[in-house]
Amino acid sequence: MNQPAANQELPAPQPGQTLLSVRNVSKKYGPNEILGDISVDVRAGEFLCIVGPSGAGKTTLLQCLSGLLAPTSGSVSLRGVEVSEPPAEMAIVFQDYSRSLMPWLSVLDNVALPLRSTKMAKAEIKKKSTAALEEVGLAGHLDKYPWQLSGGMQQRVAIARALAFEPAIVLMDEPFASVDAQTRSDLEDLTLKVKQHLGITIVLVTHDIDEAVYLSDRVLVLGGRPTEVVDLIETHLGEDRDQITTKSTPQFAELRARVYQEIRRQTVPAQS
Amino acid sequence: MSTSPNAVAPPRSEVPEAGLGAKGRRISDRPSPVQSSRQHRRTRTVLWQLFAILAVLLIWQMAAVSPLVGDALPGPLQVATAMVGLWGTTSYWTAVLTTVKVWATGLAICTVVGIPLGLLIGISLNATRSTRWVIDFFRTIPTIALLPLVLLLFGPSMNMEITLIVLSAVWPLLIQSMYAVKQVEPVLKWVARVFRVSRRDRIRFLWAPSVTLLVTTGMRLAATIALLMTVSAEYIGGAAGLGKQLAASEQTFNRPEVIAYAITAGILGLGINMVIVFVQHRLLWWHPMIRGARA
Amino acid sequence: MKALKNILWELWLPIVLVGLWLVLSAGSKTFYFPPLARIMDKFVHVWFFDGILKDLTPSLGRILLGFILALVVGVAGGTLLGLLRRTEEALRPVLEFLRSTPGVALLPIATLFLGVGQEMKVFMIALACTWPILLNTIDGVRSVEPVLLQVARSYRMTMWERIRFIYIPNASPQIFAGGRLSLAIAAVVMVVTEMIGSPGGVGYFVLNAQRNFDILSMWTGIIMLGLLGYLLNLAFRLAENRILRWHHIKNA
Repeated sequence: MNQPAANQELPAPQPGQTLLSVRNVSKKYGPNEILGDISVDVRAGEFLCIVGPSGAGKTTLLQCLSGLLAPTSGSVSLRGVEVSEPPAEMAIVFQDYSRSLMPWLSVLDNVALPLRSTKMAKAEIKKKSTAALEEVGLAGHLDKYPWQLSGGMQQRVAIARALAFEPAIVLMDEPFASVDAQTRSDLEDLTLKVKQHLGITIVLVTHDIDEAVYLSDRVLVLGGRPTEVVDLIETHLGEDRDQITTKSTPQFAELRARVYQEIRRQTVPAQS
Repeated sequence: MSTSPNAVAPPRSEVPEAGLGAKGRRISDRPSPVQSSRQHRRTRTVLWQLFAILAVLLIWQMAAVSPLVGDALPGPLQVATAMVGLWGTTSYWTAVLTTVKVWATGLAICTVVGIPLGLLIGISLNATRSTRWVIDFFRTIPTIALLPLVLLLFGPSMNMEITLIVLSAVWPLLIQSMYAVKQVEPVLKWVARVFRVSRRDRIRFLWAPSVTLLVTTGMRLAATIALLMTVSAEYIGGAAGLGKQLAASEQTFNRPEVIAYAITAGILGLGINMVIVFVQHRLLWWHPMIRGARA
Repeated sequence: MKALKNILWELWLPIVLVGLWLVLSAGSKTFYFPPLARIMDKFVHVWFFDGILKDLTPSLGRILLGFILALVVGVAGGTLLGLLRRTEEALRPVLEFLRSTPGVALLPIATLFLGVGQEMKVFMIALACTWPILLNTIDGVRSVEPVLLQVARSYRMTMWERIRFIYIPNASPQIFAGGRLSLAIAAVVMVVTEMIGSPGGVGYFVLNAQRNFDILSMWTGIIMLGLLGYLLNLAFRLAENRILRWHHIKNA
């Protein structure tokens, strides 16, 4: 692999600068047009949520952003470099933790696996992986296997794996869709905490409007057929968020209603 | 793809406790009340199993002495005596060793050819499509039909047997390997791409563990078929080994020995199966199908 | 267009192989590998229609009979043992032993009681075929979702209804997987029993041709056995696709 290794020191992205640039991306499968002309700039250090109705091609968009899938037209670039394969500065947390973790590797080894392919020394790998697992609150479970953990804990392992990779940007594909409500809130807060602590950029795809508003600095609302950008909303909810107090502010309710209406307008054809 | 008609999943119920795997044991080393009651249950099961075996032997004995059968069928005691007698002869052990040697050689060739070829074909869609008919055809034809031909070519020799074994046992291995490749979890392949896992690590930590289940299942099928072919080739084709001894005892009307040889073949088959299942469980202690069976 | 491309991808290799055989064997003077063209002539001559009546029909009859017997015994026995957990556990070593025994090793015992005729052949085929079906049926019956059984109880389904609508359908994918293996074994056992048994059948025909050094006829017999195996498998797969439609669609 001759691309820069994951741990290599790159000049840290300045907050506010464009990190990931999406230009007129569209995706067709045969005659089916899934994504039509989507453009957005992801700023360094922000938390961007992509929200849209089921079947809107959110996952397809995320895969185009990551280079796992080539868009039919348009381009994605990370700091000016065109993305054709997943770049070294990017990590992904997939929705289905039961399929994205390797059952034959211990929790620690799952997190360490990506680092083994870098030039890092063994001791360093272990240190970094352990630190990442501590960050997500799994310090006591290093030697367990994923299938010995609850769903929420498994998703924490997947998050730790992404963090240990030390990316500038983390893409998350409906990461909390398969866990129960309580775990979901915990994981949301964990993600916020980790983001603040490490100063990474996060793009998270969800169909849950509350989740999108609660987590984001900006919410990208998708809709229509083929899917296009309906709106891009700044939330201005501040740094410190709390499941109860933030969600009960009038500002939150207003944002929530706005996103909800925009999605509804797109999915339910005008009835008047 | 997961239920493609050629992929055979290993039966779940054949799970001996033997295969826990060193790592898998880590979770609960301390004996717990639950465990000791499980222990208790296990002992009872074993007792019942012994009882069932005794019952079968008893029925056999009764059938042997019943006037209905006459004296055509030797009883278990007679057979046991014959078996112990055979154990003292070199010809018995030579026959067993020959059969095992031929079987193992044939299976080794199948492994070396079938697994890599199957994996390679499985990776490429076009290779899969191109070989579909050919593999399907050779898989389904009863290769034993070639016995007369290979007999003419090689005579009653080890080469004759090995040719037959390879021609019939390589297919299940090849097919299972093909499907094994296709069943590798796509999300894990993405993970490997996203996290830039090196090729070496991908093979070691992604591909190898992913294909193990179906490949070892293929091994089991191939081993069973190979043994069947070995004994058949010896019995009909007259190559040295268990099958030939079986035919010889039959011709001299030494019925207790006939049955003793048949049982020997059965023990061999059972042993082979147990070894492969053991290895399978050693390698796949993490697999849902296998770790679930331990509970 | 796409379908055509698919068919071409699937067809080219078989055509090339048969073509190669045809061309490479054309001038063959080797005693054991006569030209394919001559084998094909002989094939038509031998098998249409005397051979089909005299040797193929009996073979087909006994393999089908043996297989169906095994299917009935295997599914019925497997369902019963699948439901009676304790009994099955106790019998497990005996079953494993019987299954692991290469069928051919039991031939002398079978001939002892049943002679070398039709009964012995059908019995041996049925015996060897029973184990994969039986053991797979047990597994399939065991793997029924507990929720489904609770549903069955809440609707007060009778045992027979549960077997008919829950256990057997749930086990059917595994029964078919076992059946496919059994069919392959059945073909082997059929050929073997015909080779050592009384005259009649394609297996006997092949061995007899070899003994008379009638290599051309032997080759036609081998090809006939190949076709028989292939067509039986095809028929089995068609039946499976039809019966297991729900399963294949669900897992697509």
